[in-house]
Parts: sequence; C-alpha cells; structure tokens
Amino acid sequence: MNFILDQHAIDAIQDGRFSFAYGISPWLFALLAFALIGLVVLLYRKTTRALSPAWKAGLISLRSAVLIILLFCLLRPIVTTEQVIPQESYLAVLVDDSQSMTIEDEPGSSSRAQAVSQFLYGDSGVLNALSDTFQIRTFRFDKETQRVVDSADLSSAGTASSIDQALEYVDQQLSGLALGGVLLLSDGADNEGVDPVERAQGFGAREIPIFTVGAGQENIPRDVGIVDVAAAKTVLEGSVFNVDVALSNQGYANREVSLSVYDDDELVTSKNVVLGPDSSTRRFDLELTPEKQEATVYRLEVEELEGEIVLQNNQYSFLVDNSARPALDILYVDGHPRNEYKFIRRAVEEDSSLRLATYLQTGPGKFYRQGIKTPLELSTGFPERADELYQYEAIILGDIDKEFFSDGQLTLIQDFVAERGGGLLVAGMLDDQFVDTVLADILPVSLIESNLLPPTLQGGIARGPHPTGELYTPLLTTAGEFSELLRLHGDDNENQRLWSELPQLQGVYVSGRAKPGATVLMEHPLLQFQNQRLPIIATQRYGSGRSMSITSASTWRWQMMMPAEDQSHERIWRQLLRWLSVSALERVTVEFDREFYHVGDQVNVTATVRDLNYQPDNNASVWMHMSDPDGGVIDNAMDWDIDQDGVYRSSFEVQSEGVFNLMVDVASAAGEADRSDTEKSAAFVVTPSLREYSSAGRDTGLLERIASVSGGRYYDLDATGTLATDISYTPSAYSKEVQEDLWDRPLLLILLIVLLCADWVARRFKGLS
Amino acid sequence: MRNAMPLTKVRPILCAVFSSVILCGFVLPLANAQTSNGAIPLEFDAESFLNNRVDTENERPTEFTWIRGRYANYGGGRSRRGGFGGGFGGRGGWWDTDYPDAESNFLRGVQRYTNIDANSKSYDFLDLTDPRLFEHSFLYMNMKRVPIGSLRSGPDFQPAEIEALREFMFRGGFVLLDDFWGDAHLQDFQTEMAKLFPERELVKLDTRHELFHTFFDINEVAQIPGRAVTWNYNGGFSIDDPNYPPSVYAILDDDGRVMLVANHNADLGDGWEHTFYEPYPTRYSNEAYKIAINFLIYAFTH
Repeated sequence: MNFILDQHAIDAIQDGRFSFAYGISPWLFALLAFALIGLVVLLYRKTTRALSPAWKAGLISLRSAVLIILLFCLLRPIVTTEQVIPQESYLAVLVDDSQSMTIEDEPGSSSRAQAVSQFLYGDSGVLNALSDTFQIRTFRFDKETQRVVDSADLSSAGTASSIDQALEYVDQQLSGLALGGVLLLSDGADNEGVDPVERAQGFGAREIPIFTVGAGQENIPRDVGIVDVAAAKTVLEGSVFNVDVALSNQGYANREVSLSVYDDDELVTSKNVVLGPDSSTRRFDLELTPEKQEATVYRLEVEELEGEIVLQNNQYSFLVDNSARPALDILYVDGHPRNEYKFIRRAVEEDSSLRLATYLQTGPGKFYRQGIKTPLELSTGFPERADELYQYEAIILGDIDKEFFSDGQLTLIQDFVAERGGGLLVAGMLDDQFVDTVLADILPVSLIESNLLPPTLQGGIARGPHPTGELYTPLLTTAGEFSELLRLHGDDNENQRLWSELPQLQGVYVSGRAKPGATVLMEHPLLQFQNQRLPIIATQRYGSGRSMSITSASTWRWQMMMPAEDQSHERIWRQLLRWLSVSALERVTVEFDREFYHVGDQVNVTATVRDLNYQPDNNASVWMHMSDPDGGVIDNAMDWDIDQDGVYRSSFEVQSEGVFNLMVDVASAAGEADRSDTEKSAAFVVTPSLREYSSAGRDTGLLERIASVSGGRYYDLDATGTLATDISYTPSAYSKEVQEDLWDRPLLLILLIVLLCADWVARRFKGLS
Repeated sequence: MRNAMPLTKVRPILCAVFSSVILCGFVLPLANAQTSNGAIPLEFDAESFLNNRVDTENERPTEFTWIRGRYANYGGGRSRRGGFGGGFGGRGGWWDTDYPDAESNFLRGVQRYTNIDANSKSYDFLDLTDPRLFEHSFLYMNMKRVPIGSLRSGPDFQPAEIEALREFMFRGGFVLLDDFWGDAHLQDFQTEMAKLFPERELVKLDTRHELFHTFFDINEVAQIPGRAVTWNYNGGFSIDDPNYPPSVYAILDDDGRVMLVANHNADLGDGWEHTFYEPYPTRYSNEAYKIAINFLIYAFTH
C-alpha cells in the first residue's frame, strides 16, 4: 500500500470510480460534512474565553476537519480498480536486440542496449517487480524473435528490426496462455517495412495492453552516414565502374568530407565531397577501376567527424563484379581498305572486352578476314542466317555498296537490331541506293538522295576543295560533352581540354537531319541542312537495339596526328563500340531482386532464357549452380514462371557473409549444350547491414501509437518509475475488478493526528478547556 | 650502284616468261585470310592495264595518297625543289629515284586491282620532318646510298628525321624501304635501322608471314631487276643473279605488327617504272606490283 494515494487510485477517483462501501452517496457525505461544520460552529458560538474571529475560525476549521475525516473513514470510502491477479497471467517482455541498440546515446555514453539491460535486469530491475504480479516471458527480437533467459542472451547483433514480427511471434507463442500485457523495449527504429500499429490494434481489441519503453535519443544530433552504395560497369575505357554513394547528414551541413574505397586495407580511390544541408541525403559518384578480374567486395568509408555518435554507418561494403566475361563480338564489314578501318581495328585490338571480326573488301571480288575465331567464320561472306549473324553483338558497316547485301541480308540486319537487340554502326558513306532500304529506318539520321541536297552539299566527301571535304573542328553537343561514349576524362574541365587538343576532322558524308528520337553527340561546325548542323555522331534506340552513325571517315586523324602515347582515339572507339554492343540481349540473363543481401535474407534469382532466335524459351532446362563463401556448393533446378515467357526463378536463404558465385546453365530443347552463350555467371554479396544505423533516432511516435492503440502506455527509458504499477493496474483481459478501501491509508491517519494535535495545542494556547 | 652488271643473254627466256604470264595468268590459291565471295581472285597482270589506263578520274582527289619520303641528305647538286616539276638539275640525291613514273604506274595497278581509293595521280613527296607526314599512314623511301660506301647522298637520318620516323611508325604509320643492293647497302641499311630503332631487332621475314598473303599469295620473294644492278642501260639483264639474294627485312612494333619493311636486293620502283618498257620482264613488274599491293593492304589492315 502506498503511503499516499497511488496514481491508479487517483485515476480511479478522477474516472468516477470512487464510492462509499455502505452505499452513501457522496452528496449525502457532503451534506453530513456541512452539518458537522454547522454543529461545530454552533458549539463554538460561546467559548469560555473570548476569542478573536480569526482564532475562532481556525479552531472551527480544525475541529471540523477532524470530524469530517472521521466521518469519511467511518463511511468506508472505496475506489474500484482493475488489477491483475498475482501470478495468474503472463507478461511478455520484448527486447529490441538489433544493431541500432549499440548506439551510445544514453546518459553516460552508455549504449541503448546497456541502458535497457540495466532497466530490466539491474539491481532494482523492473523484471523483479513485475515478477511479483506476472509470470514473465522474455524475448529478444530483431527481424526474428527468440525466447531469452537473461541479459547474457542479448547481443545487439540483429541486422534489422521488425516489431510487427515480434508481436506476431509473441501472439503465437503465448496464445494459449493468459497474456495480460506486453512490455516492449525498443528504439522504435523499425525497418522491415511492415507497420506494427495494425497488429497492436489487434492486441488492444483483445485487451492485451502493450507498454512501450523508448531507448535512445529522438534525434541523433550529429551524424554522417552511408545510406546506399551501388556500383555499375560503364562503357568507359578500362573497366571503369561508376560507384553511386548516398550520404545522409545531420549537423554537418555543407561540410567537406573524404570518401575512400578500400580493397582489404589497400586504398583504391578516394574523393572529397561536400555534404548537403542538414537532414538531407545527397548522392555522389566515384569512379573505380578494379585491377582484379573477379567479383570483389570493396569497403567504402566516409571519414569520422568530430562529435559523431553513430560510427557504424561510416563504412559500407559493396560488390563490384569485374569477372572476366567473354569479349563482345562485333562484325565489321568495310568496302575498301582505308585508314579508318585500320585505326578502328588498332584501337580495339588490345581491348579484351571487344572482338572485331572484320570482313574487308580489298579488291573486286576479294575479301580479307581478320579477328576470326575459326577458319569458317565469315568464309561465305556476310551471314545469311540469323543464327550466324546473331552470334555478334554489334555490326559496323564501313563504306560499302548496296550491292554487297541481298534484300534478305538487309532484313536480317533489321531483325538483328530490333529483335536480337544488337547495335548497328554505319561509319562511312551510304550511297543513294540505301535511301529506301531498312538501313534508313534503323539509323539515327535520315538518308536523303544526293540530288535533293542543296548544291553546296552535293558531290564531294573526299579530301579536297569541296566544302564537305574540308578540315573542321567538330562541335560536341551538350549531350556529347557529357556522354560516356565520348568521355576522355572524368573531370569536365579536363575533358574539355583534351577535346580541344584533338586535331581537326576532315570530310563529312552528308546525310539528312537527325531523327526526332536521335541523340546527336557531335556536329559539323559550319555545314547545315534544313537549318540543322550536319550530324557527325548520332545515336538512337531501335527496337531492342541501338544504332549509331558516324558521318566522317577521318577519326583516324585523332591517332596519327596526336603523339603516339596519346590514347584518345583508342579510348573513344572502345567506348563507342562497347556502348554499341553491351546492351545486346543475351541468351541467358541472371538477375537478383536486390543489390545486396544480409545474412538471413531470401535471395530471389530470376533467369531469362532466350532461344537461338532470341525469343523467350519456355522449354529450357535451367540449372543453377551456386558456391557460397564457405566453399559449399548448391545445385538447383530453376522453375519456369508460368506467367512470364522465358523466365525461370529460384529462391534461397543466405546464411553467411561474403561473395556468392552463381552459374546458370541452360540446356534447351534444341540440345545445344556446348554453346558458351547458354551459361551465365553472376555474383552477389552478403554484407553487414547498415539499415540499423540509418534513421536510427528513437521513433517515439511509433512507440506511442503502439501503446495507445493497444491500451498501454509509452515511457521514456529514463521516466519509468510507475511502469510496474501501471502495468498491474491497467485493465486487461485478465485483470479483475477490485474494491480498495481508502480509510486505512496512512495519509488519513497522519492527517487526523496532525489536526487533533493542532486543535489541542491551539486550545491550550488560548486557555480553552 | 653505278657499276653495271655484266649483261646476260636472257632475252629469249624473258620473252618466254613474259608470254607465259600473259597467256596463262595463273591463279594463286586462296590464302586462309582471303575469300572469293563467289568471285575468282585475280592474279596481277600489268598487261591488263597497258592499254586500259584509267585516266577519267585522275583529277579527283582520292582518299589515299602515296607519299615518298625525302630525307635531308640529298645534297651535292640535286636540285629538285618543292613540288614536282621544279627542275631536274644535277644528280646527287637519290630519294626520288624512279619518281614519279614508278608511283604513277603502281597506283594505276592499285586502282585497277584493289578497292583502295587511288588513281595514277595520287602521289606526293614530303620531307621526313614535314608535319604533314602524319596526315598519311604509308611512306615509301628509296634506301640506297650513292656512291656506295659514301655518305654523300642517301639515307643518313638526322635526329629530327629519326624522331619523326619513329613517331610516324609508333602512331601506326607504315614505312616501305626499297632499292638497296648488296652487302654494302645492307650495312648502310642496318646502320640506319640501328639509328632509328636501337632497341628493336631487325627481322628477316619468310613468305609464311601474313605480309605475303594479304592480297596475293606470294610464296617466293622475287629479285626485281634494278637498273645499274641486274640490268644495264644497254638492255642487258642478269635475272635472278645469285649475287643478290632477295630478302625482306622488317621491324616489328610491340604487338608484333610490321611497321617497317625493306626489300633488299630488289627494286620495286624499277619494276613499276618500267612496266611498259618492253625489254623489262613483265613477270618481275608483276612481282613488284604484287608484293607492294600486299604491303599496302597489310598497312591498311594492321
């Protein structure tokens, strides 16, 4: 029994649950009290000694108060409360055991977990108090929930928090028992994407109140953290990956920080960036050029700033898959020996990611093949069948006559781009005969008969005095200047400088205007057609593929007229050809549903399979062969997704951190098991999660909502004094109505004694009998 | 060489060879790297354009220009200046041996037999140190020093020339050296190559090299008769003179591509220049065209 009135008793009085056991109404009590006061006033009308009115009033008050208290006690006042019957019901205690609980933002620089542990299991731990009333069941939770015995079972290692899942688990585990309430201790940083309030409402409906205790600070005052990292291969020269980093910032607005990428302990690259305004997330790009041809896990670190509490989100592991891949095959057909042919070949010769199979018409009826894989490749000329042509990812046509192609071959080229998703580059002159062919459809520039051109543009494309044969400095359009196809340097200013140093081009093949959907990257500075500068380099999408036109045959000047060590020409051509070929459809593609996984996550693998004609293949046998970081190997058949043509799926859970290598092998109904394009390797990485450290401030609002909708209460961890009593007195499905006497409260007795003493002393002081 | 070789009585043999070439026009087997695409490959035959000169387009600027290199060491009275036609005073420099008839004839053959955009006027000459050299990727030079054993005239590459030639080749240019005979010239050549590429080895190519199969299949390197060496002003020839075994030397770049090729004991220039000189054996003219076309195609593809 409390010395003074308990809060629950006060609450009960406030709620009107006060009464007198003998059925007397409070109004009658008030009347009697007034009567008593009247009686006392009457008796004090005459006193043995004269009293001043003030003294008289004081004595009347004292005596009246004593009598009223006595009357109050005699009438047996009671409050009606809901109370848990000791040991007859259960209390589930849910303790957040995720990584965010390691954040040291509790008083005394102790971690949230330490503070919670002290609150539960410390010398005056709340569990001791609660165990007088309840049978306690304690659970830890992160993205999963488990029963725990004591604080030693808590590790704060969970990589995600799901309050919803924890409540569901408790509900299931204790469903047959008298669950009288739930005590949830968490920072509220729930990141599994399921709103727990709905489930809390369900608890409320079943009269199971949830009491929530919030740990940590609502706002992490100063923090810079890595929110997300993604790495994608670019078409830039030399296996350059673009690493996209999202940095959140609180309290370090506009501050310059250093980002560094490590391979183990070796610094690979670093960059200084300027953070955004407070509470913002800003994205930054880093270029990374892996040296190893394999899937490598890199570590990105943002420098630790003074005053940061959360350091765990200052680093992030991410995967860069630079595994050696088969070279992209490009078929290059040229109509005559020329410098452009020679130097395009030379530019990509040392690029192992590209293979140029070239078919050069050296003379009338004479052809010269280079870069062929087998003696039979191109032995019968330009492919006439889809399966022959589709082994390439891109086609380059140099100065070639229309007569070189049959109608069937031209249609095949159209299918190659539109359906197979290949790239087509026309790097040379197309004569008038091509104007009505499919090539005119595919290209990003319109073809126009030369006699329809203005006189200044007719007649000449070779060197010489004709305007179209003169030297010129090509103009990079805005799209061209920032396009990765024509990038000579990552830095914009340096890129501009390098471009300005390149020698002039000479000669332009006159085409019509760029088509509406085309992207012009480079233009002629002077010559125009229909008020549009003549495009020099233009690109566009066509069906599933890409097309490009280069209307000058003088890019070789960027090689011969620059110092031998300059790599601009090589770089540009490698980038152009990679772009052209890299997006060609593959027979087998493998995708994962997420960029990165964490231990315990489910990995969903999707393989898309196409047949020899690059149509979705629903009749393939698809096997997945996976090796995990511990050396384990799993073989699985992948299941066809009946809703999607050519799509096969498989799912599994990952249990260890590191790189997982996957090989998807397709045996189609056509039985072509030995083809290398029916296999596809892929890798994914399981990394430590940072979810727990982003937005890791205490989510008081969520915890309050959970408590209020379920009939419980929310407490800050440092204001939990009444928690144990509150839990006992909060109505629940297993609490009972109890009538509690108030007359025996020590407070009343003391008050009575004090008043009597005061009355006696006053009367003696005034000499009254 | 100023000393004329003894005239051999080869005219009847030459005639027989000449006739057989014209009549038979043998067909070379296809190289692995070549395909006919339905057409029969053509054997080179200079007679085929003897009466069929393609002159109609000769004024048109062409994509390809044959450049003859003029080294600095051509003093001693040689007076060719600036452009062609600037006067042919005294002798003393030998850089322009056979120029421009050899070029004109050879380019006519190139025009007829290949798809290279050229005509009989698409030639020019440049000083080795002329920056315009880098607007081209093929360079022809006469390699002989005259008189033998002297440095009076002939290639004696100066530092600026060495720098230009090296840079030309490292950027991707191709150099053809021609018309040097015997051991003395070979030594001159080796000396100049050592100056040019002290770090690179001079290799002797055999006919299995790709260079001999880019257009025609050449299985034997011919000793193309050189005036004042294996044939004389009075018309006498010493065909296949065993004193001058023909060979092809090369310098390779870091990727194994030929960037300089040199015909020792052969005179392609004479072979082209004298295409229509009746006593000159057509068979050797043919060989001069064939090997040079192969060099050209190689230069355009490697």
